[in-house]
Amino acid sequence: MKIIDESELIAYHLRELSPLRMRAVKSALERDAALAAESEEIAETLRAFSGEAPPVVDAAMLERTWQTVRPSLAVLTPVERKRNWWSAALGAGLAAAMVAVLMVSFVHRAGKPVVVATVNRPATPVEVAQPAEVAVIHELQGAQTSPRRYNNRPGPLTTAPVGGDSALAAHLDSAERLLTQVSHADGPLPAETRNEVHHLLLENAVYQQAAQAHGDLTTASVMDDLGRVLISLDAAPPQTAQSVDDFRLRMNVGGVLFDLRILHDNKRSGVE
Amino acid sequence: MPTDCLTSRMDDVEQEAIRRVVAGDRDAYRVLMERHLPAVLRVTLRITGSPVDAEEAAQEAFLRAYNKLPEFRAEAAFGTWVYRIAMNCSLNIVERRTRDLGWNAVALDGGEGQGNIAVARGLTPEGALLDGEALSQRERAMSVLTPMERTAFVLRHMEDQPMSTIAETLGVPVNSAKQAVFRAVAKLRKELRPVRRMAAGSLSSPMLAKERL
Repeated sequence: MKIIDESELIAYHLRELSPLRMRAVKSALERDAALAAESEEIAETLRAFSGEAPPVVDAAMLERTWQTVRPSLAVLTPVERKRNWWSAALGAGLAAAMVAVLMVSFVHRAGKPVVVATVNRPATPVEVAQPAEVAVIHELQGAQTSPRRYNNRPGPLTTAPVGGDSALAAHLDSAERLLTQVSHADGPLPAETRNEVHHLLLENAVYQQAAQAHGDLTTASVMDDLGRVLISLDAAPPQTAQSVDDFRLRMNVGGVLFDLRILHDNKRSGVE
Repeated sequence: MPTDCLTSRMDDVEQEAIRRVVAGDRDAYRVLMERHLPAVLRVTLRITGSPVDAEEAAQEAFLRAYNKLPEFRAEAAFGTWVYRIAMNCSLNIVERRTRDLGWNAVALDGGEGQGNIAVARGLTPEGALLDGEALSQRERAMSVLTPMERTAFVLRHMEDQPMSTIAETLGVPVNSAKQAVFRAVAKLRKELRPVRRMAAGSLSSPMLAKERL
């Protein structure tokens, strides 16, 4: 028979024994007077620490505690809960699909010949320029470290962000909008557009000289091309005819517009 | 059932308070504190044995709970959560005070500190005196316990917490927590033995006469 010691008696009073052992201790206490006396002493010890009245928290105490804690409470902002596994899997799947699409697009683009911006490009210049522009913007977003040249010509188009000049960026923006408007326009240019062309032409001369003076040949080159187009537009007769010259002018507008967009994008990257 | 409805409404009030707090309304936290301060203060007082330390532990518990409220799971009970934090804060304070030699003196003082918490006893002046003496003897006996033994004993016997919770609070295996409780009871029994002998020799012994009631 297992000897019942003090720890087991304590466990008995704290109800920490198995039901079987509880019954064994109970029957032992009924048989053994000394053990029962010891058990009673333990019970008395436990009773001495039972039945204490809990502290009553009155309004004053609550106020005191609140006033102590309140200054230490920072304004909380909710944290984003962890997503469920299925939403995480969905997100990962979408990300993988996007990467796959980008890779396919990249491989497809790499297989195509380089688009050369010349005056002999077929169809509408804007239609030709836009896919190339998208491709270049993708290149810009590719976080490439070394600048690359496009169109095998010096100057305008690189993937390197250019230093920020908000006034120049505004000029480029205005020129871009104007050329887009001109390339889509049918018939003669409105008077206000011609005025704007003239204003941009004057501005452009200043920016071109400034770029040259600072050794920024990239910008200067684009400004030069832009200047030619602006001069042509400014000097064109008010009644624009559907002539070969007009067509060539439009081609050139498209080419400059393309370069302008890239430069503008580079400028914006530099500002940011 | 009416009780279920009441509990449900109370839970709704707490959930709403938690939502407002997490959304940036600090004052909504007072609702939670008002509801759970009594239970928190009870456990901190029992573990620390000092009203001053109990208030400090309770305040720390509510502050910790507040800072972790954005991570609080809505399906859990805030009361249980803050109660557990309060147990940890109390244990930390007891351990800190144990390193300070003056801790027992504060705990046994029973003077200015005891007046900080109103205790609903409804005793006559004579009864209050006897009650104070009994309290003093109990505190003296408790002072021989280690912080772990004291916390384990209080949580098991006075707060009726399961051993698993006590073990978690103490950061020990369940069996170690059990042994801590058993050691505490054995030590308290030994400390209170002379008092019991005195009580047995005199029918007018104040403490045990009261405790036998």
